[in-house]
Amino acid sequence: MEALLMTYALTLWAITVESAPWVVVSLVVGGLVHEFLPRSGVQRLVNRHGMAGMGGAVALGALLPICSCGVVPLAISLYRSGVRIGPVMAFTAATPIINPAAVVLALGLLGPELAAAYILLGLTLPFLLGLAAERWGQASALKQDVPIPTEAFGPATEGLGQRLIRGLRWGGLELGPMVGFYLAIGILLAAAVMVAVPEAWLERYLGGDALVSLLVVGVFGAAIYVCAVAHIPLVATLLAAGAAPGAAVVFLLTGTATNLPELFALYKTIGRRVVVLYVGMLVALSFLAGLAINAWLLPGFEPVFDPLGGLDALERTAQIHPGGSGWLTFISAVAMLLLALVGLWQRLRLRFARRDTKVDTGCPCCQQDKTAP
Amino acid sequence: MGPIFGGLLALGALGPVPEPALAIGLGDAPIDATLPPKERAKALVVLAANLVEQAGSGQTQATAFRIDVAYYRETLRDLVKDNDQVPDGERLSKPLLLDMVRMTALLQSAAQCQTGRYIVCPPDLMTQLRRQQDVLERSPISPGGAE
Repeated sequence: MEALLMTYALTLWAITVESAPWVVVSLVVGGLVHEFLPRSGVQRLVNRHGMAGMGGAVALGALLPICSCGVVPLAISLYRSGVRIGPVMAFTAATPIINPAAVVLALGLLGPELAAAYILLGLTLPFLLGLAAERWGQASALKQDVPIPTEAFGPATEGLGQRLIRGLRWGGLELGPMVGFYLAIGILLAAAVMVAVPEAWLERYLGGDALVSLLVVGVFGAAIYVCAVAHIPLVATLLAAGAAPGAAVVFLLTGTATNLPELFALYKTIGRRVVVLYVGMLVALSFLAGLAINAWLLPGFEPVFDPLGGLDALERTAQIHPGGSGWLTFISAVAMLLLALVGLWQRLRLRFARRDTKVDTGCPCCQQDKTAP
Repeated sequence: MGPIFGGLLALGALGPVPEPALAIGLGDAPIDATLPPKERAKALVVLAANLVEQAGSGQTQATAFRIDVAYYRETLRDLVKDNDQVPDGERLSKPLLLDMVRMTALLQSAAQCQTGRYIVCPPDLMTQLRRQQDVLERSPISPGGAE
């Protein structure tokens, strides 16, 4: 029991420190986006209907090295700043699945066929998810903050400093506690899932090319926390030990694109239907892609790559993705914990305030007493 | 290549280094580049095992660990280059080299897991590091391997 609790605490901490720096960065950028995007021409660019807007969102996401927890504040901020749900979900999927460091590492370690499949799917899947969210999720998504058209603002009368402060305040004090609270609940759940599932599950299911293996890998991958750059080496070693290439790609796609903290936060802030659609389509499309890859590469797949090319890729990845300073990571984790506690306190206060209001005005007998002559 | 390791290499180029190039005091001198590939590979397997142990201890200084992982990677790169220039009988097999590159990738992932000043690896990464270490230790060139 003690060992189990220790593993749980370690997993909890690992997820927190890995995601916290990006959550903090994302809150700062999200605050600025919320303040500046609605009045800028960029919004019209991101909000363009059809393929161009979606393609732009995928391209932007593919360039940012943010994980699936870190992308949440930015995605909510984009959505609340008036960006349509389609590009927001395309961006949310593309950002954690694919980034320059992950591409370099995949090319170096997974072998040419699998790296090509991963990169191609990493770009097309978010695009399709965005289109689906646009088509079927827009109507049911929760309301946005900024229904005012850009033209209505006119020339800005406030100074840049004031707007910067207001943006950062929104990111830190409004968005931060809300996202921190939801992410904290999701991280507690994700760590529990990761500890509860037998340690060898990944090896067991990645090793099979059966439909069940692909489905299990897809569903569990969507629940647990997976970072592309950290997990490509892990997948490379599992492939060498006999893992099926289709299952490996399914794990990389669903694992990096989502996890419980992200899904829980989006569920609460963007809407249930969008999130159900997003996860359902992600798992289904990844499953189909896994089947196609297994049919293409099995039997006889050997993840062979050039050793020198692999070492070059590792060196470049260390340069692109050098890892945060330990203290910054630690401070970010503490900041995220504080935000979660503030979020919890705000919720509790709201709940008690509602209960008090019910006692004051909602009770018919009290009202009768008050209004009685 | 990181500036610290670059500095170490530059120091090495000036002449014999009185202190070991490894940063975390594993007790090994730098691997002699004049040794035959098989001997160097054996030394790298031992070094990898030490690094895995350090990664799992939770008490390894992150900066030192990163320097040593970079040292492992660059020593392996020299080994891969030199391996092509030796006769067939003395050459290391490609699967073994690929396994060593995969170990480098896992160690580099471990080097990213910094909390405060120390390396703290998540359980799934530690499990995979130990399995990869087993793979290397079962290889024909290892001291207790299948040769």
